[in-house]
Amino acid sequence: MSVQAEVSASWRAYRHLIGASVRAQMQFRTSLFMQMVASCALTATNFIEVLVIFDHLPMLGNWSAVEVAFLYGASGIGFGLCDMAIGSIERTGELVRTGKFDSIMLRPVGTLVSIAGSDMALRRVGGIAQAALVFVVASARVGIEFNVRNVVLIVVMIFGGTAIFAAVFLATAAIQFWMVGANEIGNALTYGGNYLTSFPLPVFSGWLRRLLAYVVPLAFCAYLPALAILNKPDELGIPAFLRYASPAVAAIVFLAAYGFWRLGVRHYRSTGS
Amino acid sequence: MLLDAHLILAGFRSYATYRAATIAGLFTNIVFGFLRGAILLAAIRQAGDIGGYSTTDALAYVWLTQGLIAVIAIWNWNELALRIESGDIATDLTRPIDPQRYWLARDFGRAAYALCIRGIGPVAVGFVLFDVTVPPDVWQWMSFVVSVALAVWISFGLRFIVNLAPIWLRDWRGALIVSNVLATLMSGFLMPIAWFPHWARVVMHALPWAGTTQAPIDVFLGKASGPSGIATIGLQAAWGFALFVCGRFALIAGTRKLVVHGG
Repeated sequence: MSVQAEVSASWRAYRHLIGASVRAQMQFRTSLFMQMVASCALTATNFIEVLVIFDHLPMLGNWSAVEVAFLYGASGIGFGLCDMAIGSIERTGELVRTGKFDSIMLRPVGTLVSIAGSDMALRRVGGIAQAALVFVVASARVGIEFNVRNVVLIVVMIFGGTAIFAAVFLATAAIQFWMVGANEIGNALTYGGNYLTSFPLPVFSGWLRRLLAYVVPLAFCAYLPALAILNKPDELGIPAFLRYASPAVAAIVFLAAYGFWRLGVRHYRSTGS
Repeated sequence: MLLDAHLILAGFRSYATYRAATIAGLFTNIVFGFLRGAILLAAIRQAGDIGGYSTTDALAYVWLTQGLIAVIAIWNWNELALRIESGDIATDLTRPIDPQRYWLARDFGRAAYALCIRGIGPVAVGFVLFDVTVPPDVWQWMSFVVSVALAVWISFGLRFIVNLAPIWLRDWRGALIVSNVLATLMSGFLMPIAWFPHWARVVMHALPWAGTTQAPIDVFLGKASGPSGIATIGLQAAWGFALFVCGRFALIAGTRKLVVHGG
């Protein structure tokens, strides 16, 4: 099968699985609605942190409250979309530990599609809606011109962010083929990553910034594209063309993470007994 | 007393078996410590003291909260709720020990284990790498230890009541999520309570969640010392006791109401 045919077959399988998962969750509407509200409230607590900080100062570095809200919103939407699309991959450690990964490997679809499609958390719509609301209000207040360039950049920023976060999810899930029971390590990079990208990068310093912003290229999720959209100078002296590099970086890291995942699957030895 | 000691030890041991999970959790708590610390520092460097927090206070606050996460464990605890959901609670009720006493003793064992690695770990990292506020005398250290123990008691009291929810609601997820949101927002974990606007501070200090995080930190930083220290610890003790009594009544009412499904 050609790569193209393989990808389109996987995509079809993923859509079917997601459809089934969504239909299942729609059976319990009230419960789903309450979970959406809760997801919204949990995400909102992070924004309250931003509000509390800006209650005491007008600017954080050379970033105003609305500009940080813009970052927060963009990062939150990208992360939320990613979490909804493939968040169930966090279960990998559990599947490896119990040996249930065996049955995943027997299925006629790829392991990634099978796990990622198994349980799409519709409740995350609540969190995404909260981030989207902040993003829309911030975009309106921050005074960006809505021309073709900026609209394209916004779309690229959000989906680039989604793809980079997806790569992080995938890579941290793959680690669990080697380190069973260590699934919480992933949280440092996924949730920690979302936390980092909600704030302007110059706030962080030294090795922390180098590791999370450039090695794990979270700088491309919100900060760098936002500089381009908001037309802001960069205190860190990052080359200007990188502001437009999100899609390329996203593609590279996603493929790398997928390769790492494949390596992990090949390393899988079941549980014995 | 001997029975309680055995239960505490059992709680300690059963959590001590998940070693990889402990290390992974520790790693995550430490990474978040660096991230949160950077943000609070940037804010204070720009604004000067915020809510009476200097940079050394803020760093102590961040690393102490990161250490307290696993010790008070106020988020996501559902062991009791799962036993109610599955009907295993019926077996628990036939045992010759009171469930509330059983779970409280176990929880102190859990907290003791959490303190050893996930509690001390982040605090050690933060306190070695950064310039932080440290209590000036033994008294303040001892008050802090008492305050942390009371924080565990309050946290247990809240979680015990939340975990009884499925007796009435037949679902624990909703109650747990509401409890998670309230704990994040009201405990002083998200941001020091002193950083919030005045009206929010008044509300937050009066509610039990502040007793799980902000109170021990206020004692540690000397923001509650002398009479205000006694008041802070006294309020913690009062909330711990009140929640314990509420849990007692909820358990009695729940036992009468409880219907275990299935044959």
